[in-house]
Amino acid sequence: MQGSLHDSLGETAASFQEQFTATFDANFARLYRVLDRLSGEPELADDLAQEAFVRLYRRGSLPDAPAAWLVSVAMNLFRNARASQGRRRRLLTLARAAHAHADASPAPDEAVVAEETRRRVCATLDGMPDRERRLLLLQAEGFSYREIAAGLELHEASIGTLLARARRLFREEYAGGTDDES
Amino acid sequence: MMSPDDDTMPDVIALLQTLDHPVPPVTAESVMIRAGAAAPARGRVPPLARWAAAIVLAAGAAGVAYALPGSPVPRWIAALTSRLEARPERQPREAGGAAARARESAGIAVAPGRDLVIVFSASTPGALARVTLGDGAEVVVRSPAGGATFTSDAGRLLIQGPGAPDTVTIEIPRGARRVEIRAGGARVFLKDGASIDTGAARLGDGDFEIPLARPPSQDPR
Repeated sequence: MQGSLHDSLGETAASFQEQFTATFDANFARLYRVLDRLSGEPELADDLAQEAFVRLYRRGSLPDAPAAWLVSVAMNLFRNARASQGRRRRLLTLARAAHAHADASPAPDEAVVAEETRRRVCATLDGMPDRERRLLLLQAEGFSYREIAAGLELHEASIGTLLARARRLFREEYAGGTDDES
Repeated sequence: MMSPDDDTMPDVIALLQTLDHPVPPVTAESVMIRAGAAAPARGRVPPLARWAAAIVLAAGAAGVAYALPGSPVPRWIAALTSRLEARPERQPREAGGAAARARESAGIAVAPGRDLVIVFSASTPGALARVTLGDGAEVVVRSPAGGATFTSDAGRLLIQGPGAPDTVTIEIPRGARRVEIRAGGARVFLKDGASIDTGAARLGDGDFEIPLARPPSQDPR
């Protein structure tokens, strides 16, 4: 009896680990990218994305909507990290961006244009309200309306409208930055 | 040129991708190890499964103890049964057995949403609520003595029947927007954004301890 019980529990554990692995494979990269773009700090994004999955694993079972759960936990972790560090969200510096993207090795003119584009995108995101910025970043990584709504504690019915507003804001801010430069 | 209200946003995505750094080479297995699971397969048993195993093993052990020749267990059970039968019959409570339901409903986790009100249905002298701010995503309420039942609907969680000496623990996510706790018809705790409004005592570990009996002088809001 104990042998069969042990086998059964082992199968349950193995099944959870398979589900966890599938969830990890489907969500880690995009959760990392959202946090990376949100923070401008790849090390912090890596740490927070991993911590969200650590908590999912320690939970022992998958929630009904794992992606929404992960977004919610990751956003809470990001908020807490910012609060505990006592830092304000800030722009990516050119130096950091240049260091992070140094492997591209484009032609000098292309590199200048690329850096300028990155600087403008950072400034655009920085100029947006926090909610719209998160909405935009989550949608850009393919999270569904339902997952975004649950993760950001918004009504699902309002996501479409809010996203349209976020996209419009982004384009206007970006175009404004371009105009300012010219 | 793309309209600002287009549903697709390839231009936005392309711009956002200029910010990307390479995704770190992290695997699910490395996260499992970080989570404390030393063995990658069959090593970690989920908590529910551990409970199930404990119950099955305990039941099996009790059965063996009952069946052993010369075991005192059958006598104990007979004595207990006769003592229970000798007691005056109590009125059945709610249909379906509220007591049994209470034991099964010793905890609940709900998403706080934009606004959550936790209501203790009655002012209960001696009972306490211990409120903790945590890093989770859900409001978790536990009644360690199993003396409470929980009913939840949109934005509201009703807690019935915690009696002394039960202490109900309530863990509230730090990121929750607004969570209010009411007992005996009065607000006893409010988390609104980052601010906390309560007359409850703050313990050394930062938790709040809230009596669930409303003092006569307290003005219900």
